[in-house]
Amino acid sequence: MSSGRPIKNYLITSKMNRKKKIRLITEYLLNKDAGDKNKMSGFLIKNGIKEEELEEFEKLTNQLNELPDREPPEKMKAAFYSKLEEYKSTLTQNEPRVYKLNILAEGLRHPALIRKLAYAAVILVLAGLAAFWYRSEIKYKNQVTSMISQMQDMQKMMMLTLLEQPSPTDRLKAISISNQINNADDKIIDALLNTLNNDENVNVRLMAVEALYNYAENPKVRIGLIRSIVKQESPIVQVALADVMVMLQEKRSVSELKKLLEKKNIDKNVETKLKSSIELLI
Amino acid sequence: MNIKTSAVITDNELMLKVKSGDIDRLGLIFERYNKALYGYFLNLTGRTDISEDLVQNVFIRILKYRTRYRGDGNFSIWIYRIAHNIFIDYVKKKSKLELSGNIEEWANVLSDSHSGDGNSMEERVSTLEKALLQLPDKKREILTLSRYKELKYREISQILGCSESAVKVRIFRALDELRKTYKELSNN
Repeated sequence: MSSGRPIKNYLITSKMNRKKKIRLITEYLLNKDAGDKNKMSGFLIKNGIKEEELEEFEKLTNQLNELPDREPPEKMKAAFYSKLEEYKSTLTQNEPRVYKLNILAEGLRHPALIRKLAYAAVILVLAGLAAFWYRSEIKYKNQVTSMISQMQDMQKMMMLTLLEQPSPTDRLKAISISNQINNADDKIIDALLNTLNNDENVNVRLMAVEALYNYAENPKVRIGLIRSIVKQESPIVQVALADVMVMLQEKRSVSELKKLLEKKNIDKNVETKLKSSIELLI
Repeated sequence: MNIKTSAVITDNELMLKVKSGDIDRLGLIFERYNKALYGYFLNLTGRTDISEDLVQNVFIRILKYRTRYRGDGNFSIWIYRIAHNIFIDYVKKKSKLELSGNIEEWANVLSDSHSGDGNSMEERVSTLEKALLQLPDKKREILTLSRYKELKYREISQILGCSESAVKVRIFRALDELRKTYKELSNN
């Protein structure tokens, strides 16, 4: 929730009308500063607000803040990227096309992916059958863990396959999938670094920077990001990498940033950005 | 809002690229906002399928009106204003009766997902979600905006088209009604 304005603004009168009380209670509830809150609660109670009522509001606000966020289904993402691709094609072809409904329809265009998905589906069915036979709670939990792990494997496989596709939209989808993989192994990290350094599409490279940033605790990722700095030709990716280095406070990147500065064809805006990043890192 | 990635390239910069024809950049905006928008619509409609469609509608509308984007304001406000308008359009199309039906359906889903575990924390969450669903649309929306998205009063007032003081009064009234409903449900 938003934080409120300073308390001094409200210590104005002891006789408040209802609207003013309502606004003050709301300010009190949304204020995060403990000192302000103490002063405000004292003031409100002195002006006729019941302490229990204030506590109830406080408790409710805290509970609201702690409500769990629900994850959107994967097919929503697949549908979005399909529609995006359709929109792009209408820009160039000017002819109406039917929207694909889900990632399965998208995947049907790639036989290698279908084959791998079929294997994965067989594995999942077998795992499901096995779970049926093991009814004890511990065994069931193990099966669920195993299925989750296999789902993750499937995601990884799908990601790596899509990353090899010629369409940039497919490769963007691949990186999007990588964001949902909890434990990215070396294969995923290598694929992302390879994409960052070699993909011909600047948007794909930019998204790879963001995806890799999520795994920045991995030393291999950090080194990979640093080494990639001088390899980038696109100003927007150069700026993105400089930003990431500052966010990670990665002092080892200074020499690479300086090397980039020495390039003859460096964009002026990038030059300014690099200098300020180096200053922040030294 | 994705704080981690927003510093890499801002939402405004991405949207200006989309405006100039670099349509793929919308993918990055989608990555940053799809979860929050889905949560926003799910809280308002109580339906997962409709929430998915409404999120898609937000991005379709962004594409449709991309050339009108000026880039001189807060992108979050802009996208939530689109989401708010899409929800208003949705409500206009659907009858109240149908909406109530959706909410009952969602309440059952919540009840199923939380029942039987004996965990009092989860029971409290379930009761609170049910209480939220019983609020009128406008009250549910203002609590959703203030709770989930870390938007300030000024930003909420710009999304909903009302004054800051009206936002504070409306948040209080929504909380007050939620408190009473929550109490009733907890005592049942």
